Amino acid sequence: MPEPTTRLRGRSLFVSGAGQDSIVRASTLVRPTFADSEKQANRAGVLGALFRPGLHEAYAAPADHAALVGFGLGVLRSLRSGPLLWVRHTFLESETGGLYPPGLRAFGFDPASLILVRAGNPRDLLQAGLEAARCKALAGALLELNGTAPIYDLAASRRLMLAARTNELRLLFLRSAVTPVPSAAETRWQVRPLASRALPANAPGFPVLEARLLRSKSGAEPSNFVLEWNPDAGKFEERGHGASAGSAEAHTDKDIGAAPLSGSVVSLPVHRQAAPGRQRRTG
Amino acid sequence: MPLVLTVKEHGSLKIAACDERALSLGLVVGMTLADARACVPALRVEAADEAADMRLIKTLALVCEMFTPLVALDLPAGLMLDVTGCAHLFGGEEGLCERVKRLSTRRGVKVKMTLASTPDTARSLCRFGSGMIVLSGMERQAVHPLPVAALQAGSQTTLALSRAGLKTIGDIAARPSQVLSARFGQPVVERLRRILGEEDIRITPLRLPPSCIAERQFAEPIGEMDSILSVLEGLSREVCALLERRGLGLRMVEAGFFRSDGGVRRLPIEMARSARDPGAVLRLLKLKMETLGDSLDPGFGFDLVRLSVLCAEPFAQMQKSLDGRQEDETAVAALVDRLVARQGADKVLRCIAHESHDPRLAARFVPVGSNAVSAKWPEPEKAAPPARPLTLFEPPQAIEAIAEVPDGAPVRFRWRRVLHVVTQAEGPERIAAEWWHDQKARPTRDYYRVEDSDGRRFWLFREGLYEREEGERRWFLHGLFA
Repeated sequence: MPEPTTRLRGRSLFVSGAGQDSIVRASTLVRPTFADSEKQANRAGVLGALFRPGLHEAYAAPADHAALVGFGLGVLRSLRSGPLLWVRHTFLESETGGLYPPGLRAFGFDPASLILVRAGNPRDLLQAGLEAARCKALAGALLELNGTAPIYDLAASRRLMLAARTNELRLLFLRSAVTPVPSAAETRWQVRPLASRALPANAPGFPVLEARLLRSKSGAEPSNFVLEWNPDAGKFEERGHGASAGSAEAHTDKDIGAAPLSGSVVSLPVHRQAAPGRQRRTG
Repeated sequence: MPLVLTVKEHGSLKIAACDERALSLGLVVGMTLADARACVPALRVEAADEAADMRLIKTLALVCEMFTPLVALDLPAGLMLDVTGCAHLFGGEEGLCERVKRLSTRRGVKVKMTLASTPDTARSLCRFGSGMIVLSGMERQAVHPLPVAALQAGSQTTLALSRAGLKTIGDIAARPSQVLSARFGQPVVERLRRILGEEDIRITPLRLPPSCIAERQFAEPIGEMDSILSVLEGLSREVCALLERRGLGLRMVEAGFFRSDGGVRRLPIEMARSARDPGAVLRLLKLKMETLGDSLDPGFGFDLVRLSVLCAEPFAQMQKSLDGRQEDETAVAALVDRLVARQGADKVLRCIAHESHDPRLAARFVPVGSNAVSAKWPEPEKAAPPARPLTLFEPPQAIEAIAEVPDGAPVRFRWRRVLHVVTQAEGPERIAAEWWHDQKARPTRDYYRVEDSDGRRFWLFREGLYEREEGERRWFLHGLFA
């Protein structure tokens, strides 16, 4: 049961090191200071702390599925190293293409530590997810499903949640082409890609996503995270934290600085080209 | 009504098989259907189904695996069993033949059997003589009366032999082999030696013989799940003990359940790494049984339950390391085993790299148990955005794209009926087919990394080079970036 009094406010989270295998350690009762860099570290820590062991859900529009994949991989990768179990619905092969190991490699992930399960139906998918949740040695498990799955109900999600939490494992359920249904997940996110900061010669920059926290059992209020891929750290960081060298536009940290530390956060303004077709979704 | 099966040959229907009544009426295999109808007007005719025949004989081969692990198909309608050292388990050679006969009768198949010292002797005696058990050392006598056709040296040679006045195997065997080989060729002499039992070649079994087997035969067929499980437990302990003595561990095990009415059920399980834990084997078998839709279905019970180790590998004794890494590896291996048992071996995959600059060939997924070796994964570029997409379409998706200049980056493209306006683009990265492949079949591709106005990132390519390669210039979407 979520405790309504527990807020992220008043808890400070330190990120030790910034490597791929950084451990996010939470220490309570340390008031946050307001130095800029610390603020960002705190925000990054908030993201890490939200991903406690257990079941997490992330949703996206079907056209944004690749961003969802990037989000899931980036988050799980940055929290723990080790073999990763990836359970994919076979339907996704035609919908968003098959997983491409060199791409995973370019994303800082070692394809050798990937175990892929191709599940033909949601039942097999959940079954494999449950098996994974019972294995402590994994870095985490990604379940990827396109479309609705009536079999994934409150009871099924609770089963996954309990198994994952007992074994201290992070299970991330990536879903597209579906509206969120009630579930026992720790957190629920909505992911969409954002325009990247162009590199010289107008080349697309490092991947940028918006992850909106829709719901959290720990009581954290809905907030927006604008995440940019940091290749040096091999993980997503809040935009503005690790400004990339080749940024073509003069980028200010104002958008981060303007955001409150935690709790209720308004949607962050983001640099992007205004385009008429912005709200359009592909099918 | 007599029944014949027909097959179409050179535009006419010919008899492929006939039943007993048709045979007694004088019909033979190879006769045209028109001739047969002329002889026997009341005839039931069906088309021969070769695939079904093949299925039947393969099923029978599996059933016969209860007598020996070495069973070979002997087409078109025979099975060859190597029962060396197996007969005593079934009450001697007579007992064995009796069991085979009983089993096949239950499956509705009439069989003729010969048991002899070498496969060729047995085959020719069975095809051209009467079914019998030939005592060791009596082969020559047994095959001497057979017709020369029993040599199975082809119709021309058979004809030549009979024209030379040689009617039986005995006649040929009486001639010196040099003369025979000079007149009819070396193969005839070789065949003769094999039929006479002078040369013994082993059969090639349908499946590789297992490296070790443990089995239980029951006086009374058993059918209860509890007793089956306890039998399996005993068997897996036996197998593991056997392997331990040899310093091996098991990778692939198969449980075979032989029903008293001639049905066989086989459950193969695979281990991700060499293991010797009877408990793990039993757990995986249970998992596998659960995944069976219609359970094990013992029918009237199982006569025999067998556990065969299909693949064994050296087993490394493990010492627990302090950081628990070894335990982690074992835990992951156990997880993989469970997944393979439940989802199927072709559903649980790992990826291997292939040294190729062609993005389509750079990596592929193989079953987790396969021993394919991966090349080294390239190091990711540190200070640049990912150059390869997270997901790849195979085949690439055709798109309509518009570029400002013919060989420039696209400014707009339409994919799945949605228009994307390109705001940022990088490229081209020119990837040509490897030179040893046909250049025309695989035109050069110019890849672009683009981002649209919604922030979605794509990997597009244009096929073919302007003015240098033939064919149409077409655009494709190959992958999606995060």
